[in-house]
Amino acid sequence: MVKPANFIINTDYATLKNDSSTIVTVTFAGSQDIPASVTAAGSTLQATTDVVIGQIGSITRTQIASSKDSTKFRATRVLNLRRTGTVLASPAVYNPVTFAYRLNATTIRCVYHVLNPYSEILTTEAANETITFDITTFLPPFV
Amino acid sequence: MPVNPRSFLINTDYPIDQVVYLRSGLESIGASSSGTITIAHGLSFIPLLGGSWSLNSDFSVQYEYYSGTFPSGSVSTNLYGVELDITANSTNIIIGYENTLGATTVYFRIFGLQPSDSNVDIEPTASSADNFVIDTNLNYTKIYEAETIVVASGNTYTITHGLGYRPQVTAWKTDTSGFRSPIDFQEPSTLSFDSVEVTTTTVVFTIPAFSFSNRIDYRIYYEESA
Repeated sequence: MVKPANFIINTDYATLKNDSSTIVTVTFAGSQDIPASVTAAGSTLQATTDVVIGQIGSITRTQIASSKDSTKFRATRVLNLRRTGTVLASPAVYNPVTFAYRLNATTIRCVYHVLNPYSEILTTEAANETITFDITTFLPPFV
Repeated sequence: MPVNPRSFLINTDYPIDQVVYLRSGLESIGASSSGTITIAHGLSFIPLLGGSWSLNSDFSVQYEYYSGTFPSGSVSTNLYGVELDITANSTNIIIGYENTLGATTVYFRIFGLQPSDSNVDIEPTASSADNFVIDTNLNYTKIYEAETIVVASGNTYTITHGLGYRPQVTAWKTDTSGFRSPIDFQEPSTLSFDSVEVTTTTVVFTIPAFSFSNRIDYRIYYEESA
């Protein structure tokens, strides 16, 4: 049985209920040196921001934009970037990955993640880059 | 009389998402393994899928598909330690998994929506009034537009919504082999991945030249993004 005070309509089909929303930014500082990819653990750099959002069991819907292309929000879970740093004083392309993932029951961590694919030190692009995560959460039928 | 759809919890002029398929389950997966879990969906159309998965039966910490525990045990090749993805064809739902860590059990929940070009009767997913109620404490995303488009490889398709704000958008791609999955990976250069760009006036779908996608199902909602 249900309490009439809590609802106005029953549905034949399950629904997706809105939960919460927030905007989170992550700034990756420019001109950082990333060690050569000799060891997996030492060849990455990350910038992260944590946010407490949503009820337990909520699902996220994310739009992501970079400060280097700030008018373009993309509806996506993972945004792959293409940037040009330097290796041994020569231009070197690398591919930062930005994404948001569930850290624990209440917290979402937004990440800017760079892997150095080279066997020499990679220096990232000079300018800082800020990633904006536009996150909404909703409750699926299972919750 | 015109109304502002964002001001109403329920308005029959503005449809909301109806979940027409529900499924949950679990699977044991081996250490450092990859594979698929295949489930017959029994629908007469290829559903638009969503959902979540967890390493805990109570889903206390859960992940969306195409996401997982971070970081992986091998950062040079995998972003996530355990990752599940999801796709569907005309008969099955296929959950793909990639595990760079130890043996574990994955628990999955799946919901499916009906494509806009499907017009068939479907059994209700609500088994009793206790399960699915429209709760006045919550808002429900209202659909501005739910359509299916075909975009040739190497082309863009622009929808002018004119809402004046950046709306929430969800999209699915279908490849030439008939597999349909959420669009969840993108890159600005659109070299590899299908892209959904959202502005205050438009939604732009871009299909890279060598993409295998040939159909996009999308839903634009009246609700603003955050």
